[in-house]
Amino acid sequence: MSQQALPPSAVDWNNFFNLTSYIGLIAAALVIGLMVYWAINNRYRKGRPVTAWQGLGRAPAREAVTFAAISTILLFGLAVGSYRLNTYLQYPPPISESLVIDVTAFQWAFSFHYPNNVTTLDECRIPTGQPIIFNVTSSDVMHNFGLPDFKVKIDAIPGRYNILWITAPTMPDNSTMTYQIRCYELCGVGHTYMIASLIAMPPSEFNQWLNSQTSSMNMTGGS
Amino acid sequence: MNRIFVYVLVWAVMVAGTLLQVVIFNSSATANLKNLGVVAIAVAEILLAATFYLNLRYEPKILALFPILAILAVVVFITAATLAVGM
Amino acid sequence: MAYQGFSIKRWLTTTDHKDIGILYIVTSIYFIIVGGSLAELVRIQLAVPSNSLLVPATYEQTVTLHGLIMILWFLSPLGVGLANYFVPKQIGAKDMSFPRLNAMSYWLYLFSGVLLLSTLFLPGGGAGTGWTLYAPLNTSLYSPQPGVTLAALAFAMLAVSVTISSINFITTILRARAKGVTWRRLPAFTWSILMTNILMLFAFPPIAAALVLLTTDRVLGTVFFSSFEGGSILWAQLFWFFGHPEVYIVALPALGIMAEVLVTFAQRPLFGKTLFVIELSAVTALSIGVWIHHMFMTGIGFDVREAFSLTTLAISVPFEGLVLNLVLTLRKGTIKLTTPMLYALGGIFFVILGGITGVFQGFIVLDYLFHGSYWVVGHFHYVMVGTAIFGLVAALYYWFPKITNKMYNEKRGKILFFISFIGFNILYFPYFFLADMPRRIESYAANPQWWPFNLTATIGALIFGPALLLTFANLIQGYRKGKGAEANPWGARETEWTGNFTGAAQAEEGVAADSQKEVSRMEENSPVEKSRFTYLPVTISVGAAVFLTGFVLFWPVAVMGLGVILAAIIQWFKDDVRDKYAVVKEAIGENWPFNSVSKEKVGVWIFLVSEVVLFGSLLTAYIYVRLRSPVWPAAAQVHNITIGTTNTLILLTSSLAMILALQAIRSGSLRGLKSGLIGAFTLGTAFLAVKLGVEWPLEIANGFVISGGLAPSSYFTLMGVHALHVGVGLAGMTYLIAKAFSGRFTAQSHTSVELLGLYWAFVDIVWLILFPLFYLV
Repeated sequence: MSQQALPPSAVDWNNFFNLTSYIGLIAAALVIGLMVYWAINNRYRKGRPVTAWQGLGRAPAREAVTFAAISTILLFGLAVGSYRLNTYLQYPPPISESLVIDVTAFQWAFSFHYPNNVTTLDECRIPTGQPIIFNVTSSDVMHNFGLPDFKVKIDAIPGRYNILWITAPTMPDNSTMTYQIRCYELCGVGHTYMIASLIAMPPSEFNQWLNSQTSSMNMTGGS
Repeated sequence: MNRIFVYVLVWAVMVAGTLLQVVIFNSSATANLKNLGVVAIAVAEILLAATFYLNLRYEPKILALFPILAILAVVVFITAATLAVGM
Repeated sequence: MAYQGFSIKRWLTTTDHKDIGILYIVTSIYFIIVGGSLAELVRIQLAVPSNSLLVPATYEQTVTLHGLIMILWFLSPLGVGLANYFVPKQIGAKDMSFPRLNAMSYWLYLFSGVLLLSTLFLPGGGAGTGWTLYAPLNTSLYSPQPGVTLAALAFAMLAVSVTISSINFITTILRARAKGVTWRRLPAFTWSILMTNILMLFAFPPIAAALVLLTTDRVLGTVFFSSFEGGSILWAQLFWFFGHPEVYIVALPALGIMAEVLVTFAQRPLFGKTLFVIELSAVTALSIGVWIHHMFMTGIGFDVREAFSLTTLAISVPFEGLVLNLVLTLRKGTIKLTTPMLYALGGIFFVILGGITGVFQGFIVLDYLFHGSYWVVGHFHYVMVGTAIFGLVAALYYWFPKITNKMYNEKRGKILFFISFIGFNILYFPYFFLADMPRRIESYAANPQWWPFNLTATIGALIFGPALLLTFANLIQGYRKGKGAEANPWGARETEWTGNFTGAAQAEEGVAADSQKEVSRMEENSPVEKSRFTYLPVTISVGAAVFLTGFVLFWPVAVMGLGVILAAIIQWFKDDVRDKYAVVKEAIGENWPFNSVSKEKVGVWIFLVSEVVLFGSLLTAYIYVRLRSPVWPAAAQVHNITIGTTNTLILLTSSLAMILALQAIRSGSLRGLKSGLIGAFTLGTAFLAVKLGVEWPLEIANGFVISGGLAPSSYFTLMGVHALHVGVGLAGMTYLIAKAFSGRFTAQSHTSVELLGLYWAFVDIVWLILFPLFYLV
């Protein structure tokens, strides 16, 4: 997948992860490096004088405060970034611009209910480029509605409705893209196989599909 | 003051408090007002019982550290758990 | 008094802290072998995308049991075992403050583990819910097998064991320090154990509460976790209020050990010891306030999640500080890379990686991917296996000469360290590349791209597991065939080696005091005239295990178990009346700030902390489901307020009688004591009689039954737990009355009256909360 074809939530996630990783890796390398260096360089050899037990020198208050200040600033800076992205994920665009799909997880499948009463099982078709709001619940035990390619997930909890929203990217060649939907919460013996697909298709094809579903439902009398 | 007298007095106050709680409960005040009254009296009674029946009044103050820490933890728990209900 | 050589009787009846420490260590190593074998099964299952080794139900049970055993029956008990042996030695105490309760903790721990393992052999098997036992998968609708109930009860039994042992440790460290062991001079390991036990005291009552509610759900038909208003979120709140502190319960002893080992083998004092203690305390305090980060994906309030994201990031500052203190200790040191030192350094390496990856999950946005994935598994194995196991193995090697007077094979130890260290990284590092692979799946045929990482991990597991097993073999070999060790082979300066508590030797250059002197001094002061052996702790624990098994499977067996427990407790009381057991004399040492409070009273107050948290957690559950319920029956319709009020007055008066009894014996009036106790007992019995004999039948006749929704569920459960406490108090009073009538209380000696008085007043205070909340609000 090219960078353009990534969902916005995944792009944000990647950027934030990379930033956090750089900082984390540098910090880890620094501390581990010091540890290894001292452990090897200061190791006991014949003739190496042992530093006197007494004479620790000044208390390390200054180092402690400096260190705490630096890591607090770094963490707080990252926390602000996380807060902004989290707010973005938390509040979906207005319903008028979005497609709302009710997702019900159960042992061991997902069912998807569209506004025009079309219901599908383990297969969720969505239009690319338009915000999709999933209204997620469970009808038995606790599940999780996870979209790893979008780097988002939300718990499916009996008696509760949790919101998750995404926008599927438009593919450069306007093709249809299939993503995996998985349960990320142990929900019984079928947990492993609680997999569904998310099929992101160009809006025109999607509308065609939805209409065909509606009309086939009308023909059979619906339910 | 004679400790026996203090213990009996505390008991009498708590009995009165309990009866007052029931009176408030049966009164015609609004539900919120009733609850406020009942809970306020309960808190007062608990403080009284802790101070005198758990003997904190006559013991080294440091012992109060234990219940205070425990109550603090419980308050953190109840507050966060109930606040976090909504979406 | 001492048993020479090996004797089964000695090990069954011992109350000596060193013996109990060894029992804990050996038992926990047994459990890691069980839990580790389960892990190997999991890894072999996952070596290929599709494997038929374990069927789904077996796989889920394997994963669940692995998690429960490793965290609760291996990691923290091994820490407790080492602490049992070395905390009294470090602080110069002759034993733990309450040696018989110490034995009791161990036996409850052992038999709770036996119960847990036995669930595998029940029809339907054990719990397949994951170690987090999430609701409502844990309810009988979705997990009908009795093994789940028994596993929950085994867990609750462990919680009792842990609570007793944490009361014991905290009291010991507060009250039994030798002259010279001031707070400033308290060794780092003892500090870490103090903090660990404080956390245990706060963390285990909530899980006990959750397990009580789960058991009533499964057995009596309450609906806490099967209803929408309670359900998943209520369980998660209660579980993680325990579960997150548990992580630190596992990690802190390892950090304390690393500090000891580093100091000894770098031959430098711990860098910034005071700072280390401050950071340790900060981590302890903050760890109680981060649990909601396990619930970032549950859709609970946005602001609350953000707040807990911040507390999670905040805790990493003092935690990183702890690690830096350890690393900076090396700076000017002269380092001997012995086996324990290598393990300690390895543990620091892992705590750095585990800590930093933990910070990643503190950011909610990153958790959107990581939650429930192998990234999380990787992170907490770096902390739990890397930090904790490497730290604990460092301790086993480090204190091996002290425990066995022998030396292990150093060369083999080092080789095994390198194999373990490499195997560990091959095993767990690939997990960080599996951030999209769900936890607890037994096949990944749909995602073959995960295969290389899984295969690598399995290869790592086949290196790390056997290496760990050989490590234990190396220790056993050292015990059987090793050369005799000097008293202080490392030249360590800490008190458990030197026996010098006043710090005089530490001012001298490179001198370790003669530890032989310490041993003989300890022997002299041992209370030899009285028994230090008792069958009662093991009897009570067996009785408890039988009771719980019967409770789940066949109730006549439960009655038998209860009989055994009661008989043993009566015997315990009789022993006390006869003063059969040696009381560990309190050190005439450092007690600040508890100089004027007896160890028994300190113990009871610490016990009351756990009780406050227990009732607090039950109340949280009640308030939570009530606030979430759209309708709640009006109190006046379901309860008889007159009866409730009468009972409140009865209990208040009973408390008055109790405190007057105490006041009477303080001024030497045995008659006043007797009449006060009888009054308190009669009124307490009346309270129970009214509650169970009049009020409940009336309510049940009116259709207010325990299985009738959340209102009766919470009413009967909370009232039931309170009534149980009243019953325990009444049992205690029977003992006091018997002892009073045999005239054994005097104005100077009446501690047990005072202790039960505290408990009785507490039970009364709980009622002062329950009464308005259930009858009037």
